Amino acid sequence: MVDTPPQSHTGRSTTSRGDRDGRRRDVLAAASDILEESGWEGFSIRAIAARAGVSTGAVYQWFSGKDEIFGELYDRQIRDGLELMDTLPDDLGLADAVRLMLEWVVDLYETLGRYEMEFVEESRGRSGREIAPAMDSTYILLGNQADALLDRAAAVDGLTLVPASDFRITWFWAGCVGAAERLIVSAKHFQDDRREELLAFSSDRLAKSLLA
Amino acid sequence: MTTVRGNREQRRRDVLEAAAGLLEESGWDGFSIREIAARAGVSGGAVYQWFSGKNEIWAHLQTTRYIDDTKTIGQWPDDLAPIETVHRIVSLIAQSHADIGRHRFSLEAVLDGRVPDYLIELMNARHLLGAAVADRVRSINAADGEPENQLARLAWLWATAEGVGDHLVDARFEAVGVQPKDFMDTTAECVLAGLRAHSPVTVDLPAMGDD
Repeated sequence: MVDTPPQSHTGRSTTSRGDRDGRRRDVLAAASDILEESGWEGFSIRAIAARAGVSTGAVYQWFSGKDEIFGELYDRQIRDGLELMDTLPDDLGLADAVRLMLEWVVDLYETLGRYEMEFVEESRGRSGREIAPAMDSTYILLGNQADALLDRAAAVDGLTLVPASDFRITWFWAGCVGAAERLIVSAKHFQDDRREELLAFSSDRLAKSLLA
Repeated sequence: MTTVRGNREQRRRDVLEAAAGLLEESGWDGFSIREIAARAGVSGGAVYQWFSGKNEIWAHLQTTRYIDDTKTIGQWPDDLAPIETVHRIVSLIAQSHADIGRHRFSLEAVLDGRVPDYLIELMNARHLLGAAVADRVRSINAADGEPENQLARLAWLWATAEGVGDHLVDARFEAVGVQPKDFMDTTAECVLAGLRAHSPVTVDLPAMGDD
């Protein structure tokens, strides 16, 4: 098991070398880079260790395997999303709320999303059994927060949405995910102004799709 | 499996059928020439006689699905209610994406900008399906009198339906207790509302398949 870092060494250097937490962070940063460059297929402990400049043995000291590494990257992104929703102003209208959430999904999918499905699928058949329930509960929490935010934002505009339900929020995520993928793929072919138009159009239609 | 030795065309079809089953069961990671060959009861070498690799096999599956879906849409009655049209279109695109299309990102990563012939066939098939879907969507919006944003609306419909497809295979979907049937009903209503909405933004997009 992982030892706790020695506490006697008070003058510990702030560089990552010799600093266990710092090296753990290096591994996560390396993993994020690998995922962006090589996708889920290239996402191996060996590649991650090489990128972080540590041994694979060291990686296994901190993580049970690539599922746990991905799970942690995923969790961090989700926490960012929860924080974003928490800090949005109370008087935000529906259009702006949907726009901000779509932008967050685009961001999520640009870094992790495309592999999220493959991860969820694969990990359930393996070690992910411990990780999956945690992901499920974060997912449900995120959905509840988003539901509340959408209703609040609609009320600011004096609008009524179709009643909150598992279907409504699942459609909303699905719509965001689809639009985000399209935006990401399109970004390779379109100018930035087209991306902006697409983002505006997609979020406008998503907002209106929720109206009662 | 029936013995098909000596019948090349039949064996090629066996390979594609085996590949479709394998993709569905094992996803992209388990989608290997060795496995496909074993399932089809042919040698790996035989598979390589017909296909350059797993990307080409995937592209054939996708192309065939686009062609089949285009035929399916052609058989729908002309007087479907808008909600029924949307329900059918979203289900069709979502299911195709869940079964095959969602693996395309892996393909893109491998292709690295090259455009082999089989991909051109795929794009053509996608174009035709796009046109068939556009026809159905146009009839909905003609009734509402919105002439703008035809292609942007279509792209939005397509993109969001693919997102729906992603969710159909998401295990967390089950975890929150959502039944696909009820989910599709709500989704169709929302998509129809989104299609019918008028937007302050006008987007001038290239036709489907050009991106």
